Parts: sequence; C-alpha cells; structure tokens
Amino acid sequence: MAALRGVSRLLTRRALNTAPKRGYADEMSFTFAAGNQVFYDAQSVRQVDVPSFSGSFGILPKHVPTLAVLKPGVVTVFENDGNVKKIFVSSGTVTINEDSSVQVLAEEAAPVENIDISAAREILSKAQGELSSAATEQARAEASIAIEVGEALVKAAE
Amino acid sequence: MSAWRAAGLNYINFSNIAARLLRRALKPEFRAEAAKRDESHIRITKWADGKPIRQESSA
Amino acid sequence: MLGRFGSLVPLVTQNVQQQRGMATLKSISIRLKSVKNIQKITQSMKMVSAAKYSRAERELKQTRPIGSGATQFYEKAEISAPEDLPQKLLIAMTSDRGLCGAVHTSVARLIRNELNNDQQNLKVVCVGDKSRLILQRMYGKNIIMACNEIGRLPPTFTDASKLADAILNSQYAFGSGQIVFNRFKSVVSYSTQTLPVFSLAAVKTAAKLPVYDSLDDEVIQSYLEFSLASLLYYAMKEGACSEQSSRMTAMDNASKNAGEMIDKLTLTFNRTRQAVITRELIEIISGASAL
Repeated sequence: MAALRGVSRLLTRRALNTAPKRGYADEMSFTFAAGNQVFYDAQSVRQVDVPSFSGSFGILPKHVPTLAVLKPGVVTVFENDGNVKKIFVSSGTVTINEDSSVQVLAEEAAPVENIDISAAREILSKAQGELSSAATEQARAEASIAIEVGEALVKAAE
Repeated sequence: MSAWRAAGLNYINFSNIAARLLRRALKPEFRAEAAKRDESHIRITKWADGKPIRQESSA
Repeated sequence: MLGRFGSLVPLVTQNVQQQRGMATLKSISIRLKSVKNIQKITQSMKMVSAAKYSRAERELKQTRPIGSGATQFYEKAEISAPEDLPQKLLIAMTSDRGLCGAVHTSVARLIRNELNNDQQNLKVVCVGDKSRLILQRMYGKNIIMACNEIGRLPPTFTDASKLADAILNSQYAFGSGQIVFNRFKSVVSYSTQTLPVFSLAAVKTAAKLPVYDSLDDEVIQSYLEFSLASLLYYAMKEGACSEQSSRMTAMDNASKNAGEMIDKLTLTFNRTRQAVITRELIEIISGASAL
C-alpha cells in the first residue's frame, strides 16, 4: 500500500513537473485559519466537510460558489496524501469562491483529540442547568447556544 | 430565524459563547494557554456631539 | 564612570570656590547625568518593545490568513458602496501608547483628509486614545465611539468581537466603511492602509452576488458580522506589530542620539575641567614668581 502510494505520489509529482500550471480547475486552494491557529494556508486538499447552519456539507474542487456560517462541530479535511484531519470549530464562516478557493475562518478551533470528554460533559450538564434556571429570553438563548456547543463537543470527543 | 437572533443576539455573541466553551473543553494541558484568549481589556465609550457619553457599554 | 565624576565634582568646588568656571562644570555634570539616565530609560524601553515586537510578529503571521480570507469575498464578489446610502464609517486603529514614531499620526492624518473632503456623511470610531486625542478637537462631532485600554497587551479575538458587536449595535446605519490601520512590512517600514467593510445593503446589491449559491439574508448577515470581527482582529494585529517595531526603532534612535550627546558633553566637561586646572596653575605660578 505504502509502496503504491509512493509510486502514485511520484507520478503526480512528475505530472506536476511536466505541467506545472495545471490551473485550479480540479484543485482547490484551501485556507483554514482560526483566531488561535492557522491550520492550512492556501494548500491543496481533496475534500473538506464543514458543519453549517444549513446542514453539514462536503466541499470538493469546483464547488459552486457560496457562503455559509459555521455552527459548532467538526471540520473534516481529506488531504491529498490520504490523511484525514478532524478539527473542532466553535464558529466562523465558510467562503467558496468562483476560482475554487475555499476559506474557512473560525474564532477558535482545536484538533478533536485535544478535547477533554469529561470537561465537555460537564459543560453540557451545566448548560442544561442554566437553561432551566434562565429568567430572561436572552439568558435562555445563551443557554441553548451552550447546550448546542456542549452536545457537539461531547459528540466530537466520543 | 434562529432562536438566538430572535432573542436579540447576533452571530458575534453566538461565536463568543461557542469559542469560550470550546476553550474550556480542551484537555488540561491546553486549557491554561487557551484561557488567555478569553480575556479582553478593551473599554468602549460611546460619543455624541464631541463628548463621551458617561456610561460604559460592556458587550 | 559615574563614580569618578562623583568624587571629582566636590573636589573642584572646594578649590575654586569663587570662580566662574565652577558653575559651568557643575551644570555640565548635572546635564551629563540626566542624559545618561534618559539613555538608560530609552535603552530599556527598546529592549521591552523588542521582546513585544517579536511576539507580535509571530502572532501576526498566524493572523494574516484570517485577514486575507476575510477580504477575499469582498474582492471577488466585487462589492461597491451603495449609492443610496452615502453614510460611511471610518475605524481608526491606533493604541493608547505613544513614543513610537509616526504610526498613530499617519492613521489620524488619513482620516483627517477624508474628513476634510466630506464631514456630513462620515463617522469615526477611534480605537486607542491616540487617534481620539488627535481627532477630537477638530472633528469631535464625527466621533461616535472611542475605545481605550489597547496596546498594553496583545489584542485578542475577544477584543475584536467586542468592538465589532459595539459597532453593530451603535445604531449608525452605514453603507460602507473602512478600517484604517498600519500594515506591517518590515522592522523599519509599515504602510498605512485601509480595509473595506460593507453593510448588508451593499452586499445585497453587489453585481456578482448571484454567482453565489443558496444565500438567504440571515446567512449573509451572520457572515458579515463575523467578517467584521475577523477584519478588526486582523487590523489590530497588524497595528500592534507596526507599533512595536516602530517603537523599537524610535527608542533605538533615541538611545543613539543620547549616546552622541553624552560623548559631546563628556568632551566639554573634560575641556572645562582642564581649563580650570590650567587657570589655577597659572595663578599659583604667577603668584610664586611675584614673590
């Protein structure tokens, strides 16, 4: 398998060498930056799955241009060499442009393996308590956001 | 419309809450460093007619 | 170095009590001391800002993709300011702290030029005490918001989102806006630039918006809210980095100037001292030969 991958990588490299400007028609330039860390900066990847308010969706090269707003959840990045990275995002935006460039900007992001499952459960149960004791509409809205985040965290950490 | 927007919050507020919770859910070795990003020291004062309005908004 | 002067000065005072040379000698040594103290201060300020600068630069590298990512959509969708909403918002990115060359004044100058052209439809948000102090006397009525407590610590995303939230809740309906900030280029240079900001109305009338698929107003609104926060965050980081690097250069120059001054003063001090001694010798010799 590894040998095969090596060969295929060699092939693609040669292909890149002979035709250095393939254009980005079948490639996407993927940028993923959060307030705390930059994960990808205009790198080429195979596929990206993002959680958004209008449902989770996958982004492949040549995706139709769109905007989306992230909701708390896991962004999955399928890199060109077959690696899969799972990164939890708090919130942010997704921009897909006409030229197949994709920008995911998040306020805070962390690899899922950095999430502490017990802390996540604690956050969820605390948020549930806050919802039942919320007096104002705003406090209720804040508590339900916290529950949404808590659920997503627990799900990602499991 | 989302429930939080109906309750007078905007996406920035939403994002703040979500980011704060994510920082708290990190494993202990990352949490202390992340907690620094919770902090905000900036003070905002509204102005009208060339004078500050004496009432600080703490968003 | 200092000790030698210390022991010298009282000795000289004792011997030549009623001579005019003494006063200058003493005043020179006082001046020399104060310049040396100033040099110590500027040197330590330079060290502090050098440390702060290297951190700011490291953090800036992590922020640049956010800045470019947030501007991509504005550029690629070819959004322009709506004609029916001429109100504009200018956001001045400075800080509370001075002694850093012209970083703050160049931001304020750009805004002042804009205000000179059009006072009616422009409102200003001053981030940092410096821009507010420069602008408030002439254009106080155009300021709708001022922020301080900026510049002591590196800016966080939380700072930026607090500011973005306050701007959105300010009841000021603007069609478009600009963030005026200093873009960091290298340790010795920065350039004052602007980043565009648009309102929902401006985005909705953009020529290329139909290219983007399945958009509803709420998505665009949330998107713009978050974009504003990330642009402000990016501009704050650029500003902080330019400021620290510029302060480092300013303090380095100040230390160098103080060094030159110290050299000159030491020379004058030694010359004056020599003159006093020579004069004394002449007095003694001429006194002896008179006997």
